Amino acid sequence: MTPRPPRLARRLSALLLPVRVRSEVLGDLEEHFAARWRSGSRAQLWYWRAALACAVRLWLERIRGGLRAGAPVDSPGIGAHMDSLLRDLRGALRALVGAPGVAAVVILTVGLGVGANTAVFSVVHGVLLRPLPYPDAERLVVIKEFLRERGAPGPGEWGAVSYPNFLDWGAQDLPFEGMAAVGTESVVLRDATPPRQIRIGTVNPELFALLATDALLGRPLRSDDEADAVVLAEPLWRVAFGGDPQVVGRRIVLDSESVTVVGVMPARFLRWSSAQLWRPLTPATHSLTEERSFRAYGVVARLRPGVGVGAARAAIRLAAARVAAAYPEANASWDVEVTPLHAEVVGPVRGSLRLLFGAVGLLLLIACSNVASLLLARVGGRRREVAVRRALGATRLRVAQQLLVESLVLAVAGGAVGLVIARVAVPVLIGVAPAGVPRIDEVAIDPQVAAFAFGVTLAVGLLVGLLPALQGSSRRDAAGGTPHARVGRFQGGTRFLDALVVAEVALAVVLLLAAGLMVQSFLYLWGYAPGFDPDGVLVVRLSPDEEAYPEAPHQAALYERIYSRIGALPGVESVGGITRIPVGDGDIQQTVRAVGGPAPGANLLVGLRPVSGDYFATMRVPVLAGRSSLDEPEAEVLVNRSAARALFPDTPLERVPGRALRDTARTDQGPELRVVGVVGDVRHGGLDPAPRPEIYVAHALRSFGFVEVVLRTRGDPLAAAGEVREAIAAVDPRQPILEIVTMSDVIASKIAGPRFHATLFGIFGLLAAVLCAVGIVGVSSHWVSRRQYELGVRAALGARPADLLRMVLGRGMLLCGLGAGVGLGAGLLLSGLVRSLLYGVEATDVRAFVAVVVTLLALAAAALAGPGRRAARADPLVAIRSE
Amino acid sequence: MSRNALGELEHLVLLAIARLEPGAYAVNVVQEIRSRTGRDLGQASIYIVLSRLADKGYLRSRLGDPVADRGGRPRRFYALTARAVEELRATHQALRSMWDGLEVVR
Repeated sequence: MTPRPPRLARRLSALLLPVRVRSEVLGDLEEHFAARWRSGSRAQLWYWRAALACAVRLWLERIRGGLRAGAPVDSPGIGAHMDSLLRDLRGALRALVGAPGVAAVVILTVGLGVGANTAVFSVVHGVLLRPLPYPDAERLVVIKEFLRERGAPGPGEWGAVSYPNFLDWGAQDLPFEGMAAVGTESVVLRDATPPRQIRIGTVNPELFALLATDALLGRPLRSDDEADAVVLAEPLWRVAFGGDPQVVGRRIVLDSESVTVVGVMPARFLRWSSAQLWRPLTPATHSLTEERSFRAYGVVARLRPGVGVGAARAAIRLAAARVAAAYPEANASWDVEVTPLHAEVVGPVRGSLRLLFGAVGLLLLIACSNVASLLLARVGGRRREVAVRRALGATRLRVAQQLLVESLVLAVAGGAVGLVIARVAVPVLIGVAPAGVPRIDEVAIDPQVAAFAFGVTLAVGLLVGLLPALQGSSRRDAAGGTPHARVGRFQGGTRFLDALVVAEVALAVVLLLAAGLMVQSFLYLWGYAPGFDPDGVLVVRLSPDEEAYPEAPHQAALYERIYSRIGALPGVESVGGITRIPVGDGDIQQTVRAVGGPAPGANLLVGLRPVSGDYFATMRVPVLAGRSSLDEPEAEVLVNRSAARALFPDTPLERVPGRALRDTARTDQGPELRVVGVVGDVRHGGLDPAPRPEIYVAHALRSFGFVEVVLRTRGDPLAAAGEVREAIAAVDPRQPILEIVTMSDVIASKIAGPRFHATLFGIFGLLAAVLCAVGIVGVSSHWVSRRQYELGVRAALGARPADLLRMVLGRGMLLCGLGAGVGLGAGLLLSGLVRSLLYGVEATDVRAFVAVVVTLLALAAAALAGPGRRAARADPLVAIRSE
Repeated sequence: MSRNALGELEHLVLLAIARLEPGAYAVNVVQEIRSRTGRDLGQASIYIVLSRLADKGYLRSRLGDPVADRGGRPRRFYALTARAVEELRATHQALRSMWDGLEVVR
C-alpha cells in the first residue's frame, strides 16, 4: 500500500496554502506523489520540493490579493447535493432489484399498514371530522329538554322540547341568531303507486334560513308560506316523482290533504335526518303545539358569533327557569341542554370510529417495526460494504443519507401500493358498514386523505429508515472485521432487533385480544336461539288507515282478508300477523294478575303482543301446551313459558291451559281472560336481554293501528314480494305498505354493528399476527446468520443439533413471552375502551386472553422452526475456515 | 467579445477543460496542456488561473468522491459556464477570420 507523503512537508504546506485551494492542492500533490512512488522515482524528495514551492507561490499570490477565500462560483452546495441524491436514488433502485424478495416484503408490509390507515382515516374523516355542509356550521346547536333526575342526554340521545316553551324562550333575550323547531311525523304519500308512507318534517321555516342552503329547484320554505306549501328532499323527488323538473307548483296529496310543492332541497340538506319532505309548522296543522307538556320537537339554533356553547347553555337555562316559574306543572322537573349540531349527528358512532382508528394505528406500528427490523437485518448483512465506504473516506452523513434514501424509496413504493389498497378498501368498508352510520355515503378518498397517506408514508420512511441509517453508518461496526471481534461485539446490534420483536409481539397481542373479544361478542349474538325460525319468512309492515278502519275489530277483519288472499298464493306455506315482530323495536307492556290457584300473586308486568292468523305456525314458535288459536278474542289469551312460570308457578305447563288471568292494565278489577295455550319464549326486545314474560291477545281485541304480516314461503321470500303487494292492493287499493323485508335481514341489521366490528378487528388481528410472524422469522434468521461462526464453534466443541435448535427456540420464545406479557398488561389497561361494544362477554374475559397467548406462542414456535433448523445444521468447518 | 479578453493561458486552460469535461480537474488539465502543446505549467499557476477564471464566471466546480490516493480528499472538477463557451466561440471566430487566407511563411 502506498504510504502517505512526508508528514512534515504536508503540515508545512498546509500552513501556507490559502484556504480556498488548500484541500485541492494537497490532494493533487498527494496524487502526484502516489504516481511517482509507484513508478519508482524518488517521490519523497520530489514532494518536499514541489509541495513547499507550490505552497510558497500560492501564499505570495494570496498576499497579492488573488485566491480570495469564499465559495467558488456555483458552489457545490445544491448541484453536488442533487448529484449525490440522484446517485443514491439509482443505487437504491439497483439494490432493490438485487434483493427483490426483501424489497417485496417491505413494500407489501408498508403498503398494508398505510393502506389500512388511509382507508379507515377516510371513513373517520368523512364521517367524524368533516364539518357539516352548512356555512359556519360550528355555530349550529341543538337545544333539548330533559328530566332532571335522568340527567342530561348525550349527543344523539332523545331530548324533545315542547312548543310553547320554545316560543316563550324565543321571546326572551338569548344569544342566538335564530331558532327553529323541528317535528317529524309519518304520512302517506297518495301520489305514489302504491301509496307509500314517508317521514316528513314539520318545521319552522326559519330552519331553512338557519341552515342557509339553496334549493335545487324552486325555493325553500319561507315564514310567510301558507300551511299547504311543502318542499321535497332530492331523493324523494327522484324516486317518487322521477326527477320531474316541472314538479314545482304541482299539487300532491299527503294522507287526505292536498298540498303544493314549492321547491326541492339538495340531498346534502338534512341528509342525516329521515325526513323526505318539509312543511311549515303552524298551530293550524298541529293542535298539539299548544300543549306545554307535550314534548315532541327538536330545536336547532345558530349561536351569535363569538358565543360559546357554555354561555349559550347558561343563557337558555336562565330563560327556561323563568318560564318554568310561570308554568310549574309542566316544567318543574325539567332542565335544558345545548349540544353542537355536529356532535348530535356524529356522536353515536364517534367512540366506535375512534377505536377503529386506534386499532389500525397499532397495525401501522407493527408494520413499521417489522420493516425496521428487516432493514436493520439487511444493513447488518452489508456491513462490509459500509465499512469499505467509510474507510475510503465517506462521511457518516453520506452513508446515512444513502441508507435513508433506500428506505424512503421503499416507503414511497409501499405508499403507492397502500393508496391502491385504500382505493379498493374504502368502497368495501362503506359496503359492510352497518346502516345508520351518518354521512358514510359521502366518504371518499379526497385530497386530504391522500395528503394523510403521503404524510404517513414519509413518517414511516423516516422512522423506519432512521434506525438502520444510524446503525449502519457507525464506524465502530466498520471496524468489526476479524472473527474474534465479531463474537464479542454483536450485543449492541441485536438489542435493537430484540426490542423491536418484543414491541411487535406486544402490539399484536393487544390487537388480537380486541379481535378475539369482538368475534366472541358477535358469535354470541349470532348463535343465540331466538325461539323461532327466521329463514324463509317475509315481513310486511302495514298501518291501516284510521278513517277506514277505526276500531280493532275492523282492523282485525282487514287483516283476515289479507291473510286469506296471501295464503292463496302459490309458494306461501302459512301467514299470520303480530304487532311488533321479534327482535324489532318498540315494546308494549301492561300488568296482569293470575286468577285462582293456591297463591294468586301480585301484578306482573308482561309484554303485550296482539296476534292473528297462523302466526305461531308461520314463525315456527313451538306450542308447549294447549292450542295456539284464539277462537274467542274477547275472552282468550296465550302466554309464553316465562309468563306461565311467573304467573302459575305451581302448575305444570301442560295444565296451564284452563287457568285464567286478569287484565289489570287500567283497573285492578279488569276483565278475566282464559289461558288457552302456552307457547315457547321468543326474544323480542332486541338481541341481548333474556326472554321476558309475554301474553298474546287477538288483534280483534287490541290492535294498535299497526301490524307486521309474516308469511313463510317455500323459496326465496323476496321473490314473493311483488305478488304480496298485489294481493294487498286487491283487498284495499288505498292501503299503503310501509315496508317489505325478510326476517333474516331484520336480524342481520340488528347485529350489523357487532358484525362490522368483529370483521374489521378480525382482519386487523390476522394481519398483525402474520406481520409478527414475518418479523420473527426475519429477525431470527438474521441472528442465526450473524452467529454462524459462534454456532460452528459450539458444534465443533460438541454441541448437538438439538442443542443449537433449542438455543434459537429458547431465545425466540423468551422474546415472544416478554412481548406477550407486555401485551397482556396493555390489554388489561385498555380493556375499558372496548367494553361498550361487547355483548355477552366481559372485556377481561380470561378465555380470550389465554386463547390469544397460546395462539401467538404457537405461531412464534412455527416461525422459529426454519431459523432453528438452520442453526442446528451449523457447520464446524465454517468456524475453522473463517480464521 | 468581452472587454476582459482571455489571456493565452486562460484560453488554454478553458480549452483543456472543454476537452476533458466532465472529469476535468487540476492534475489532468495540466497534463492535457503539456501533452498537446508542450507547455509546462508550474505547480502553482494552474490554481491561480482556475480561481481567476471561476471568479470571472467562466467556470463552475464541484467536489467529487473521496479518493484513497489523495489521502481521502475529493477531486475538484471544473466545467465551463455558458459564458465561457460563448467567449471561446467568439475568440475562435475572431482568430479564424484573422487567419483566413493567411499563410505565415518566414
